[in-house]
Amino acid sequence: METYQGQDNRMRLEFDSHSCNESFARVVVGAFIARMDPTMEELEDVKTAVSEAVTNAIIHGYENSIGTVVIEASISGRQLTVIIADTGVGIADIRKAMEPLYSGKEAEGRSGMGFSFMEAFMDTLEVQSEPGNGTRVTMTKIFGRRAYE
Amino acid sequence: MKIREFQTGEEALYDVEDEYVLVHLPSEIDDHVSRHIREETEQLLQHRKVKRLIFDFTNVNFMDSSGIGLLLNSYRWMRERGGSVSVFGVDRRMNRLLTISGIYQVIDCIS
Repeated sequence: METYQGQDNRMRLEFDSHSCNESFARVVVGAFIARMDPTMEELEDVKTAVSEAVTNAIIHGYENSIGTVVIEASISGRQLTVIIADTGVGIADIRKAMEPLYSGKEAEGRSGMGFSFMEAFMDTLEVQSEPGNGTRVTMTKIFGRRAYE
Repeated sequence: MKIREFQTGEEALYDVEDEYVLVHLPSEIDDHVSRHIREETEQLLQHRKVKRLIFDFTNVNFMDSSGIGLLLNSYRWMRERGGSVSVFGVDRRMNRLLTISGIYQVIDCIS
C-alpha cells in the first residue's frame, strides 16, 4: 500500500520488556514520524519522550519480570499521538510519581525525571494507571509549529 | 590507560590517570546503556583515589533522563569521597537536556 506525505496514518508495536528494546522502540517511532518531515529537535524530543515512557514500563511496570509493552502511534494532520501501555504493577499515586525528582527506585541511580522530560518535550501528557492494572501514557505533539505560526 | 575499546556502540571508553577518570560516552545513552556505564565507572573508582570524574559527551547524539541519573549518581559518589564531576563536549541539544534537569547546580561544564 502506498503512503503519501500528509496522509493520516497509524501503527502498533508490541515487544518484550527487555531493556535492550528501549532503543528499538524509539527508533521505530522515529521512523514512523519521518514522513511528517520533523525538525531534528522535534524528532529528538519524540525519541526522548518515548524512551522515558518505555523505560518506565520496563523498570517500574514489569520490575524484574518480562511482560509486553505496546506502543500505538497515530498521525492526524500535523499532530502525533503516541500511547505507551503496559499491564504491569501500575502506579498507586500518579501525582507523586509525576513530581520532578521523585523516583521509586532512587537507590538504583535513577534521576526521577522521566515524567518531567515527557512533559518538557511533548505538548500534552496524560497518565492512566491503577495498581495491578498497568499504566497507559498518552502523549501528543504538533509538528511544524515554527513554520506555520 | 585504555580500559576498553568501543565495540558495539553502546560501550564507553575510559581513560584512567592517577587523579582523574575520563569517561568517553557512547552515541546513545538510555537506561540500558547507563546501567552498564554506572557499574563500570564505580568499579574503576572503587580502588583509586580519583579526585575528578569527567564525562566526555563529544560522541553523544541521544540521551534520556537515565543519563541524568548516571551523572547524579556519579556526583553523589564523588562528593562522598571529596571529588568532583565535570562534563565536556556538550552540544546544543545535550546542553538543553542538562539545563532542564538542573544538574549544572552540582557539576561543571568544561567548554
